Amino acid sequence: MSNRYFIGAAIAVLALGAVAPHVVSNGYVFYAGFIALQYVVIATAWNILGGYAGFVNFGSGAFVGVGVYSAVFLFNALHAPLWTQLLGAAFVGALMGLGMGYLTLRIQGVYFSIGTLALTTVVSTVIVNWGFVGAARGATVMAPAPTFWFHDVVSYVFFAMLVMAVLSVAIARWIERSWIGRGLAAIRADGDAAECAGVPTLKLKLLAATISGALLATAGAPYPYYASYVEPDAAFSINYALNALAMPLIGGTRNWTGPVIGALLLSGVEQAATVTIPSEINLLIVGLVLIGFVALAPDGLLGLASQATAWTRRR
Amino acid sequence: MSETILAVRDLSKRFGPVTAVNGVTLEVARGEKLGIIGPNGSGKTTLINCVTGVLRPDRGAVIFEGRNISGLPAYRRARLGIARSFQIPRPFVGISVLENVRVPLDYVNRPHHDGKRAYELLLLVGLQGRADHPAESLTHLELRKLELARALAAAPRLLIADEVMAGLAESEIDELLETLFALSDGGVTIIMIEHIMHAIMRFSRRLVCMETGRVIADGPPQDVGKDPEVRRVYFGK
Repeated sequence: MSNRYFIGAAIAVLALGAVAPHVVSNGYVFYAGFIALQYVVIATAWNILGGYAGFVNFGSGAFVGVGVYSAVFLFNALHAPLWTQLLGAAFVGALMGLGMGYLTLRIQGVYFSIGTLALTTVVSTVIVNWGFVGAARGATVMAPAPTFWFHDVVSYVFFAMLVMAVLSVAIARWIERSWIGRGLAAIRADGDAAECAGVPTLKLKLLAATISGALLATAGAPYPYYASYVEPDAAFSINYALNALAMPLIGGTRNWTGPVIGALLLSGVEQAATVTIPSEINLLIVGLVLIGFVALAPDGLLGLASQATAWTRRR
Repeated sequence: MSETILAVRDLSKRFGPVTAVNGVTLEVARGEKLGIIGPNGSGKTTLINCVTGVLRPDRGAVIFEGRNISGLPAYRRARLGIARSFQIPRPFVGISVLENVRVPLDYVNRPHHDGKRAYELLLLVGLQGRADHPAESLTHLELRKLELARALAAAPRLLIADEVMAGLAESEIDELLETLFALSDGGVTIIMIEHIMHAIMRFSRRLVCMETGRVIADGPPQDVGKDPEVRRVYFGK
């Protein structure tokens, strides 16, 4: 897809999202759409570090949760508007990504993964004991009604999440096609050889961790307005960590379309499943699908598709 | 003799109980064609790893163009003009052959370049037909060519070719030697590590032989080839 088509498509998607509240009367569309878009942001953000650079982050829940609680804090402290909450969350998420990366990425990738696993516990423990943001009993956030264009809060946060999704995908796509993407691919393949080709591997890894952390946090920031009640268990849910990993792996990690496909598929299946089956079984299904893909199709659906085209061409 | 481009001073590197490089001192003049030979495990590659920054030596210094670079990370040394190929090819899998060559162009050479220069380099090593293929689809031989193209992309002033000829046919060795001679004529200093004796004898104007981490002979190729110590190491007597 050329740049011109991509920009055209991005503007069209944003325009549709802006017009939708005046055309679509069914509120469920925005309610479910918000989750789908949140998944797109999470999958895309995770893939910048996990897919392009090959550093697996098990702690997406910590980043999303920090985004949720940055928004709660800014709302409680300053009655900050949604866009300020998003910026604040991005800033805190970026700092956390940078700090986590600096502590662990200098050594082997596996330490980063282990570190991120522990991070969720550390951050959620802090929140559980912090009264100002509601501690363990949770926080109620009564969002003010939107003042213009949007009729209600849900369609407003839906649009905010749509902006974040388009922005995340645009950033991921730009990284993938630029010198940064080539550098990250070189790191994923062989760190020493990348260094000898002039790639500042640590700096680049930290950059990827920072961008990934910032975007993951913005996926959480609109959640308090959306749900109007948040509690630590939901904000730091293991679901985020598992889904963040599963979506790019199902879709394919080498290309920005992979995480988007994975996110839309998973959120679609989840929406269908939550109506019919309990959520524990839902988690089980995601786990099994993930194992299946890792074992049978490590390059995801995109990998399967390119294999299929290569196969038919050979016939 | 012209100015020194690379000086290695009393360099040592240990791996546990094994001393891979043991107090090596070596000077390389600008524009020189230096060959390094020695049996497997004699410390050639470890020496190169210390020069390029992949490994940190336990002792000693590496001076490049008059500057002590011992403390610099590998990517900074690459940017100063030291490029290498790896003994066992280490392609950037997951991206295309052309993109592999674009990495050093991006990071060493110019931040702003188009794909053209990368394509020229593929043409130089004869990989133009594989430009859009993923790096992991190349044959062993093509991977060696890719290693060289990637090293050349950095437009180095010092090129270290670590066994680039292994496994190549005679005609390909000739081709590769021609490329290296042309580079040398262009002013690039070249250090060649090689087991293929006739190639290294033809290429180098000076030969160094290493054994158990030490330099045991250093001089014109013919003399080093006749050195009794070198013959003992290579042929057992």
